[in-house]
Amino acid sequence: MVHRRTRVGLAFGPGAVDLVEAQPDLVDYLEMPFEQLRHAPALLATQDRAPLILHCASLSVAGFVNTPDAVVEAIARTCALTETPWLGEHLAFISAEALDADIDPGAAPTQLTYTVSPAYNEAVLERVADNLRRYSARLDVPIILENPPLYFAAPGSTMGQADFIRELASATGVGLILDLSHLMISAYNMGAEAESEVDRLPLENVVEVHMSGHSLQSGVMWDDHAVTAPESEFRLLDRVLDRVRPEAVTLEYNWDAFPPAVVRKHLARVHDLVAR
Amino acid sequence: MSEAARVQAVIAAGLTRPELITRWMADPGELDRHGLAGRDLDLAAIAKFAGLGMKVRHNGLRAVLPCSFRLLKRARIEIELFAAYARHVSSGGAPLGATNLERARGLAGFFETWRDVRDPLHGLIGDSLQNEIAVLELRSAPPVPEEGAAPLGRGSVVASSILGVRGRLLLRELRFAPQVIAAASVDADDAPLPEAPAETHLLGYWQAPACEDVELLELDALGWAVLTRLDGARSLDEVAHAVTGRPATDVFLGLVSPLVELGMASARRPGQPSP
Repeated sequence: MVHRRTRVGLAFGPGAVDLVEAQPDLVDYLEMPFEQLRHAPALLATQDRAPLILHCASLSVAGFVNTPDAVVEAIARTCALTETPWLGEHLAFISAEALDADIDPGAAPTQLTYTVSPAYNEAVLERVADNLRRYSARLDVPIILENPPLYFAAPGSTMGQADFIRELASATGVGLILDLSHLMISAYNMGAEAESEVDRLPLENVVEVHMSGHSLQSGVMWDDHAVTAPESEFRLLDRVLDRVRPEAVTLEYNWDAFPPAVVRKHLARVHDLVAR
Repeated sequence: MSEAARVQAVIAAGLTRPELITRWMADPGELDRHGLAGRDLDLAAIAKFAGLGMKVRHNGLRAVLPCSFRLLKRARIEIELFAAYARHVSSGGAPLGATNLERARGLAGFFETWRDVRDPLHGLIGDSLQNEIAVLELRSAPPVPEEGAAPLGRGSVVASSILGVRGRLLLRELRFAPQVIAAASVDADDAPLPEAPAETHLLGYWQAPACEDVELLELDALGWAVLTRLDGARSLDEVAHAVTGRPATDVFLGLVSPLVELGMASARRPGQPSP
């Protein structure tokens, strides 16, 4: 059986470019946030060091507020400039109607600084599918969606996250980013087993895998890209790789400057696992 | 607005304005007006989630406050701290600063009001913030230019000499020495915490003219008292009076002269123009 080679990359963050400059064969690509490029276009030059895969938190695909045309246009332009093979986006919302929008229809939407998981129900499923159609028509590359971390169950949910993602994949064929840290966080916070949640996902749709750390505080498991992925997350990656070969695995060690030796070691481990 | 959109509107409002969550907790009837009567909205979890968002907005400080962030993680208080800070800011507290220095000062100022004074780890974090922000402050502005040679040479410091600090100097009083803070920040989470010494550390953070580096000086009480008064306007006699209650003696001048010899202070005679 012939597998296509899974590429291994690193999310852009403190020290990432230095690492790649020092050792060009360390990664196959850098994952770059659209928002970072939008505010610092000079970062586009990093594609001289490594190919870029574009990640995004601006489309609000699970939200009910349309993303402004100018933002969608900017994303489309950035996709073209970076020659990204796909646009990674969160299965989440980052803007929402103003609290008093019913009373004051002109009220500006609430803009978040962090993506939030929606309720999982039919209405949101339809909305995500609509948004995917609308935004995909504006882009030359496919949008793939990332499972968000769950910190609380949103009111109105009629299904779990894995069920929702399975139904969405079935209805739209959308490709997925499987963020293993998010999955472990959601499983812990919702009282489920990470392994069984992985098994319930449509893994055949997974295009990219994300790995990062998480931390337990105040009785809740939190996303934490300032710490490394734990051993249990590598075991989960192994479990996924037993079933599918994603096109890419990205280490998201991007909230802090990690010791280069640690990043190299973890990248080597991912390289070994995908080469099995 | 559809019901699904309404749920998102309420969550988004709570995350961006955590003071609303406090109100909703106190008066659940307020949520009724937003169409979520009787819905199971985990307000405490949303309040903590606002803390995660606030924490992420401070990621840019990790490079300049590395020990402080490691200690916050060690204490496992990041979410609680940043959730409280988010609530504070949204309740009319000072907005987040635009620069690293402003943002760091805002966080440190809030931490001092929030921390548990009985918790030694919180004490370490408070000192760590002070220590790292002092260095950040000096490095945030271009070094002051070189002033040229000091008007008075070595050994020529007399009671009427007027001393001023060369470059920039910040004075801080910490319970823990910076090297102790740094060591504690990389210790294992369950390692014993350093004992707080009985006496505080008097520290000078000095940046010489035309120099990026910051030198850390451990001061004794006399050095601290003198340096706080070296304003480039008062004579050493006046400084000695303020510190010891007596005119500058030879012993006092002997203790102060090294500041000029080390290049930390410039000296001039009365009437001589400042450099």
